[in-house]
Amino acid sequence: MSLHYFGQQKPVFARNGWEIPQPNPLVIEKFRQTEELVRIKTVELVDELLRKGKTELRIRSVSAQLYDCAGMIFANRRAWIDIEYVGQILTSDGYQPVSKEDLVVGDVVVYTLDKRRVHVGLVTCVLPDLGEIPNTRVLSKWGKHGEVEHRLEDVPYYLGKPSEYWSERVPHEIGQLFRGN
Amino acid sequence: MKLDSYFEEIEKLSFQIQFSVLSGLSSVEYALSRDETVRSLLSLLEFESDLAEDVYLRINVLLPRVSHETKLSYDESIIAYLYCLNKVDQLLAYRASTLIWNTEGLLWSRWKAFKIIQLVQQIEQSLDVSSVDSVSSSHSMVQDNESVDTRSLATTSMVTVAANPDTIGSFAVEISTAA
Repeated sequence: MSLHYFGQQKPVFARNGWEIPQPNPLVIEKFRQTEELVRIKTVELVDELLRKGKTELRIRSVSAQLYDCAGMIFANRRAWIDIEYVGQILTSDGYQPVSKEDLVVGDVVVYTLDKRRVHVGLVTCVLPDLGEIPNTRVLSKWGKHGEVEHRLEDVPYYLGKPSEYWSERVPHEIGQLFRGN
Repeated sequence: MKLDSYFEEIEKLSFQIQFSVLSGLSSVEYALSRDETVRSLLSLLEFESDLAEDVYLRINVLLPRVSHETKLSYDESIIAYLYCLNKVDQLLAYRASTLIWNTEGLLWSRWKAFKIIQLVQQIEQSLDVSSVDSVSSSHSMVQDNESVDTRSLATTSMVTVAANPDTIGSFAVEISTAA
């Protein structure tokens, strides 16, 4: 059973050179968790959401490393990045807002609760519009829990609702689907 | 609802995991402010201020149980208690923070404790109150909780101010006037 200790963080920079703030090492140096416990809690959480009517949740991974949703996307799972910095990161990295209809794999979804940014996820699958059937899937890290692949809206209550869509693609037409004859 | 019922509710795994999905202290505090159980507990504490001591004692009970080896780490329960304490009794919140700070295995509650202690330190430095001797180092923090009981009125006020940073300016003016 691997036990991870924290407190020795490496700096993370945005594309424009801004150093993204990380939690004070003094705060996290005594935090401990094991993969086994993260797994148990993630399964518990997913089970509870399934009981509440969420569908198709797939646990991608569990890790005792300390990183969160923003750290998964913007720091390659190497850092815990407070969600409050996500807006500045998106701007600093040259992301631009796109419409929900223009989402492609790799784009970023920001979730808000009462207009506060509370969560961020990575688009992993966009199927042709199937009408009532949700067609976008997202991979996101749920706080101290594991990474879960889920339908766009299927996140725990306090992770809010998907309300902003961002892409670093320029121009965004690159995301268009090209078909042969 | 009696205090014990709140304790029971807040220490359930289902309560804890709904907040452990978040990724920022401000998000956690905002979520706590929206939670019905936490709001009810806060209302009770505001109505019966003596119960704040019981919440502080409950934190004392939970801290030895914190473990990275069991499903119930109590991190989210403890920050819920600390959040409420900080709203109704800043001195107790500060005392609780010094205990939490020395406990391994916590993230949110330790983060919140750090903020509270750090703010007291800042006030201490800005006022240069030599009688306050407890929070001199970020590493050591306060370990002697008994000393908190003997703090002067000024210290108590500082802790109050620490929990309400908007009042820092006015408090400083009051002190200088009194001096």
